Amino acid sequence: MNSAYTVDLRDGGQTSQATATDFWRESHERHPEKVFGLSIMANVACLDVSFAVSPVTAMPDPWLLEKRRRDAVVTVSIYQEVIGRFISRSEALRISRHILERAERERMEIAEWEAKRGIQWEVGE
Amino acid sequence: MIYDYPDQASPLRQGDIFLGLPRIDLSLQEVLLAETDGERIAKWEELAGQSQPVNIIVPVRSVAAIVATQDCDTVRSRDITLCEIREFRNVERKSKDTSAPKKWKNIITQQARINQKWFYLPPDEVVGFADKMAVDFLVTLRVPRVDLESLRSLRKGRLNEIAEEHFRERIAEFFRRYPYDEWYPLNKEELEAYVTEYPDAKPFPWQRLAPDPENDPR
Repeated sequence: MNSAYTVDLRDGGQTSQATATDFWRESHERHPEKVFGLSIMANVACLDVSFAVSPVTAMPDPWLLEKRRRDAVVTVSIYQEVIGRFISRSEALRISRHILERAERERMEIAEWEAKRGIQWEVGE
Repeated sequence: MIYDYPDQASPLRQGDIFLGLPRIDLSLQEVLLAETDGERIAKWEELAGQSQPVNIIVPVRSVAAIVATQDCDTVRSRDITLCEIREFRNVERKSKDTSAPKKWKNIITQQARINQKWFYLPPDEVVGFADKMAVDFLVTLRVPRVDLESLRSLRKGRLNEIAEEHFRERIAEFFRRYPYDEWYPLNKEELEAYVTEYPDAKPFPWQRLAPDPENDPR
């Protein structure tokens, strides 16, 4: 844990120094992304370091590993359930039909718009 | 006209015309999930991170289409790409009210050089085209090659040699076009005339600034 903590602190120091330079300020709009990225890297480093150190300091706890596995399963299952809103079969079919009709209508509208642009040939004479 | 009528044993080739292939339309805002627990509606952005495939409901219309895949790929590739064929009047709206042969002549020859998004197909009873048709390069279909080979009964014709050469070049031109603003080399007067016709045109920096004789280093 000590190693991980050190990594975190070091990263924070680098970030605050970097923001003081013109280089970082030049792209200040993207700065939060960089901070976020560094933070994630730091977290990943934390994780890696803690995994690397733990076998030396403690025996693996089977109950904890099993709990983590079960938590992961539950999380995935919940994640799958929350995507989307339930609708009836008839509503799904109605929306599907609407998608097709809208696509065809939009193609026609774009063709109309393009016909009014570009070189207008005297197609008649 | 410009068509050949291959027998059913003839292999697939670019320029083969099929009647009755499925064109699928998707909406990324309204994805209709078909799962065992019922139907759901979601946005694609909610599903984009899913590593597992999902089942969805999609609308399909049976349409006419022409093989766009090159001959070498129609022999062994897993998928064949086709472009939809629709009535010419609905693809090139400049022709929606055209009836006189002289007008048609100009559209079919002159417009074909300008608008590279379509390819003209004349009517043909054997193929099943009662009216003038057009290949719309923007609307593509993808079907499994083996399935398409087993549906060669739906192949009603093929472009003849002259038409196929033209089609091959036109589709290549369409996909190698690059976007540019055609008014970029116009001088001030020409640009003014252009903008009266196309108000959307925005001048480039060299067209915006009038030369200042005092600061001109020459």
